[in-house]
Amino acid sequence: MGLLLGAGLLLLGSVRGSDDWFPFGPFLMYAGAGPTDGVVESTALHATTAAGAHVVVPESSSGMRRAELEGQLATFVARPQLLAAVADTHAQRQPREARYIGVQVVQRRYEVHDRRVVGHTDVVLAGWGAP
Amino acid sequence: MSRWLFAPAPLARVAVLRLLVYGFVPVDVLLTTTYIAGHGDLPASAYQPLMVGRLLHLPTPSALLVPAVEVALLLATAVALSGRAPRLAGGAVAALYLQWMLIGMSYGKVDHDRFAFLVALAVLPTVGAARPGSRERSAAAGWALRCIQLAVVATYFLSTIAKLRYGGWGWPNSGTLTWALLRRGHGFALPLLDHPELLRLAQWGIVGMELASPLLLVVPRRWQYLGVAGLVVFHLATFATIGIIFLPHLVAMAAFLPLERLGGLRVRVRDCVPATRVAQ
Repeated sequence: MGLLLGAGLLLLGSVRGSDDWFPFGPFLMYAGAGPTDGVVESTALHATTAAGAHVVVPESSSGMRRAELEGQLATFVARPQLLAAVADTHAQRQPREARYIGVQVVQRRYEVHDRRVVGHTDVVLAGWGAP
Repeated sequence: MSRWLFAPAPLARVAVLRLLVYGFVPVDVLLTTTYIAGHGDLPASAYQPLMVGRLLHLPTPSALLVPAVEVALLLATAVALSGRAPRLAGGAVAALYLQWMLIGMSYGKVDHDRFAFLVALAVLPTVGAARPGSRERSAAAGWALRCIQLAVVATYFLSTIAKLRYGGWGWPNSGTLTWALLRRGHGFALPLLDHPELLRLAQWGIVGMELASPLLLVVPRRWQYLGVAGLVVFHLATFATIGIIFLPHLVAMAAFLPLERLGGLRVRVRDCVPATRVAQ
């Protein structure tokens, strides 16, 4: 009985469900078709430290994985002040490192033509600076 | 069908698989999936509860709740590992691990590497008492192992269904592996970007492998072991190139292996101990 219910939910999740159905959602391991021509985006958090350095924020400092960052991209673009939380988390976890006085969401856009990379540009999508 | 599903299997295999599965929980929580513990520090506004979390009205993760669930999960796992009260302790581990996963995946990203592991946690307690040295077989053990095997196979097979649904029929000819390498590729894997035809071939290979995965359930044992070995190589190659490895899934995949032989080893060692003493 339980097996039938589980299998039914799983099949339904694969055909109709979304990630929200976890653990019965569709198995989306690279299920999207990447473009053979177009732009491949990769998003990262960058920070300016009180010492004046420009760094890429490691996941261990932000408490956020890249996919989570990308999942919340619209939120950060709409309310860039939320990026202050990244500086707080970093200060809490790495108290010995120079504090972040600015945090930016930077997207690297690779241009792909016929499956080959022909160039890239970096775009700042959202930014916060300590007042 | 029901004869296949309930074909008696060694209790010892369940006992050894329990050691692997429950032994992996602390590894997962403390070493390999550490981002979940970090979610307690995130603002409540970032929490986007998944359906199960909403249905069960699970509380919003906080700096207090996350470590509390973590400690409870680790304690329940310790009891389950000891083999005492397998149904109660195993049930507690399954429930707490699910909550741990919901804490992990309610912040904008859901992982797809542990369906079979969750199934293993759910069904292993149903077998009841099982010792690694046992020579008994039971239908309950057979059913639990089959469920885990089905979940492993479903993970592969249904991921092709997802590819068709989201990527369309053109998925095998798409630029997906190029995309994956650009975003996550290790330095030494990046030269692969210069060989797009090889990557396309690999995409066809992946779909072929996933569609063939149900064969694992029906082929003779030797082919089964070979298939499992092939899948392990696939996961290792994925790890080497783009740094993603489905560790909990690999642990669950052990349900295909004759783990009872490991249990037998322990018994044999134990049998030998008195003999050695006599020899002294």
